Amino acid sequence: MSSTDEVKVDLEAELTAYLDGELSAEARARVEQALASDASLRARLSQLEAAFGAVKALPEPVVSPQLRRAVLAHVAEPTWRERLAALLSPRRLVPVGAVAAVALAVWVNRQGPPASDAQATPVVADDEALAMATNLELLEDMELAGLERAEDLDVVTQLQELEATP
Amino acid sequence: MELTARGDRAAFARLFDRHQAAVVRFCTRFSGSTARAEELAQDVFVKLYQAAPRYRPDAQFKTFLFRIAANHCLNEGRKDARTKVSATGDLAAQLDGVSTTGAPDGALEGKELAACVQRALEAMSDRERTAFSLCRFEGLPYKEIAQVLDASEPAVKSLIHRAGLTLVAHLEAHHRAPPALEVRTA
Repeated sequence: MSSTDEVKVDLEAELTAYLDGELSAEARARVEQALASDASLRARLSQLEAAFGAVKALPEPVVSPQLRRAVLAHVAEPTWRERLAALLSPRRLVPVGAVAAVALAVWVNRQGPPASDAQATPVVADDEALAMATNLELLEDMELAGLERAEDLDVVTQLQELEATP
Repeated sequence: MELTARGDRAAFARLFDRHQAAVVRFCTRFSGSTARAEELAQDVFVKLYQAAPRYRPDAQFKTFLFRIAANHCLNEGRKDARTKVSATGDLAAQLDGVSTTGAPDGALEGKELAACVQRALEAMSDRERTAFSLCRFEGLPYKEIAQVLDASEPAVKSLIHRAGLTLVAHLEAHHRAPPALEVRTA
């Protein structure tokens, strides 16, 4: 490809942006100068102009009333955060805690003196509690980010980048 | 949007009413199917509701909304490609199959033209179709499309130009094609 051809290809690639008013004043002047002397470039411009006019032939989609109902019904469902808050509300936790304390006291009373290897059990219980807490924390994080699926995390990352863009 | 972020569902309903046409239009242009577009639009609005707490008023709302819509459509397009389901739908066939009996020539030409444009959209890559739709149907400037697609402005310029050339090629083929033969029965 000769350098003249390369320049022509470059200019042709600018035609859509030229029609969209997206070129700088300098680039615009360069395209207009080329258009004045190049009939094939003018023909390409006309083709693009006609093509962009043709998109108006597409009918406007009709929005069904079911979409509104479905979307609003979906957001009316309680979120994870709301479910968790309801689950951990003092109204529920206080009676559950009281029953648990009584049950623990009864159980401790029925046990004899602690065995020599009794230290091992709390360690396992701690591990399980830690795993549970980690899972809850993950759910909380996902909920704070407004997510239901872990795959959506990359969308959130991209949104964060978008928001960070001045 | 701030009210929506605080869980005000009436505010979200107003937001939905204001932007539903644009989101459904974008999803229809992307998927080429009215039924699929409705599913995609529903997911987009649910995601918008979930993402509302992260929205900052200094960011362009339209960019935020279309970023969610474009990401969702592109992700679903990738999933459809993996499961060998066509990313684009049946709209071109529907437009072709619309009964034009008794329709004036202009109406017939309009429907054929619409089917041709729809087929051109389906021939574009997912990113080309996204950039082209945001530009031509939603009127977003290249800078905002670049933000939506997480791409540079020159990349967006190139995507839209390539999409335009695809459309030109389809329209040229459409104009070159001989008119459909009219069969008359005695």
